[in-house]
Amino acid sequence: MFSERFSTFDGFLQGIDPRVKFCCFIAFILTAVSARTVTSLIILFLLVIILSVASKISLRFFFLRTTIFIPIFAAVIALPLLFITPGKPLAIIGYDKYFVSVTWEGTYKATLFTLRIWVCVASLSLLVLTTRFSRLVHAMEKFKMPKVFVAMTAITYRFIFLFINEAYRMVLAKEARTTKKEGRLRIMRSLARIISTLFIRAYERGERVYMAMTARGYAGEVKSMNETRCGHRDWVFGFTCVLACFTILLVEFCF
Amino acid sequence: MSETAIEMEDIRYVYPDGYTALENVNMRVMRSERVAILGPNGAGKSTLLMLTNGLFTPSKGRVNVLGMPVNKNNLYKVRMKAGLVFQDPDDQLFCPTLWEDITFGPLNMGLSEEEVARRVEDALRAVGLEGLEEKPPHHLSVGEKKKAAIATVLAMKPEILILDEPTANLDPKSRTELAKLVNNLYKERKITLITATHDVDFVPTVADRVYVLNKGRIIAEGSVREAFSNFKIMTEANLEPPIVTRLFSLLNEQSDIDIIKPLPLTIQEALYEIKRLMKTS
Repeated sequence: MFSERFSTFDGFLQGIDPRVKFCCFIAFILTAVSARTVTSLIILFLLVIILSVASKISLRFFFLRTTIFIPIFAAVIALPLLFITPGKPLAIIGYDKYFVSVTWEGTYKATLFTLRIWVCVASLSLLVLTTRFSRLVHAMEKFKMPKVFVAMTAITYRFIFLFINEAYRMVLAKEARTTKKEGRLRIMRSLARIISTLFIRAYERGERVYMAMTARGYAGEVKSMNETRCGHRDWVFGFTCVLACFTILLVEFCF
Repeated sequence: MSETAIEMEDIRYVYPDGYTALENVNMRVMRSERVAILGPNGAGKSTLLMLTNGLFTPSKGRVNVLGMPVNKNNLYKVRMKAGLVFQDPDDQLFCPTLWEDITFGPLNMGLSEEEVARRVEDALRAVGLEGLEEKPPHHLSVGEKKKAAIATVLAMKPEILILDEPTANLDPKSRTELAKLVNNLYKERKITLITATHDVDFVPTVADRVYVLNKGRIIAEGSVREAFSNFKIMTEANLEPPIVTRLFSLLNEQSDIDIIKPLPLTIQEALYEIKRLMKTS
C-alpha cells in the first residue's frame, strides 16, 4: 500500500489488465493451497520471483516484504508439527527418558505449510505492488463484487493515510508535552486516549464525507465509468498462468 | 427565470443537541453577484451554507434557491445548481484518484459517459490541474487539493458556487492563486459566488457585498467598503478590517482631517492612494 511507486514502473505486470492479474494470482493461491509437494510450491514461488523481476521490482525489497512477519509467523505456528507428526525420527531433543523427537514427516509438513503461506503472501504482494489501487478497485467492480464492499474498500484506502498522519500528529503532540520518562501504565493510558480520539475523529470525518457526497447528488449508489479492455498480451498471460497452475496440479495428482 | 439566486427568510437552525446555530437570518443573493459571509469562528457560517444545499433543513423559515424552495422534492435539482465546496478538501475528495472524484457528481446527475469525460477535462483545465487526473488525492498539496475540490463541483456546472473557508491552511501564493481562479470562474461562467470566510484580506478580492454574521445572527449587510469602514461592527464580530484599511485609518486619525477617504481595502487601492498623496505633497 505504501509502495505505490512500483505500480507506475514500466514493467511486465504493470502493463497487464488488473482483472487478468487478479484471476492469475487467485489461481496461484488456489494451486498453492491445493499443492501437496514442496517441489510444486517451489516452482510456484520461482514463477512469482520471475514475474517480480520482469516487473522491475527490486528482489531485496520483494524478499523483505514477503518474508518478514507473515511467513515467519507461519513458521512459528508450524513448529509443533515437527514434533507431533508421527514418522521416522530426524533428531532427538532431550535427555534420558525426557525427550521429544523431530520427524522427517513433521519437517516436511512444516516446510510445506510455511512455503504455502509464503507463496500466497508473495502472490498477493506482487498483485498489489504492480497494480494501482484504483485499478484494483475497478477490477473488483468488474467482477460484480457488492458495490458497498467496493466503495468501502476504496474509501478505506483513501482515508487510511489521513488517519495514519492524524495519529502520528497526535503522538507527536503528546511527546512534545512529555517532560519525564513515563511508566508503561501511563503510556498505555495515553495511547488509549489517542485511539479513542481517533475513533471519534474518524466518525466525525465519516459524517462530513457523507455530507460532501450528498452535496454532489449521492443517493445511495456509487456510480463509476471505467472502460478497460483485455488485449492480446493479457489473454496470453492469463492463459499461460492458468495452464501452469493446471499442469502443476495435474502432475501432483497423477504421479 | 428568477433573478434571485438564494433567498433565506427568517431562518432558525437548532442542532439536535439543542444548540441554536442560526436565528432570524434573512439573506438575499442575486444572480451573478459576489457575496461574502463574514464572521468569526463558530458564527454559524458553515451551518448557513449547509442550508443552501439542502444538507440541513431549517428549524424555522424557508430557503429558496433559484426560485425553487429547498425541500425533499427539489433536493437533487438544488444540489445540481448550487455547488458547495467544503472547508476541508479531505472531506470532499474521497475516491482513489482525482479523476474518479471529479466524475462523482456528473455521474450522479445521470449524464452520458462522453459528457462526463468532457466535463472532467473542462473542470481540470479550469482549475489548472491537467495531467493530475490519475493522482490519488493524498498525494496532492493542500493548494492542489483545494483546487481539486472546486473542480469536483465545477464538473456539475453549477449556477451558484459556494465556498466554505476557501483560504483555510493555504500559503500566501496559493491564496492569491485561489482568488484569481475564483474570479476567473466568476467572469467566464457568470456564476453566483458565495464565500464564507473570516479571512478579511481575502474578502475584498472575491466579494462586492458582505453579510456579517455573529453568534448566529446577521449583524450587518452592505458593500465590502461599508462593512470594513464600520469598525464598531467589526469589533462586535471579533473581526478586524484588512490591514491596509487599518493602516490608513490610523493615518487619518493622526492627521487633523481625513486625508484619505474612502479607506483602501486592498494593496492596489493603497498604492494608488500613496501615489496620489505623494503627488499632492
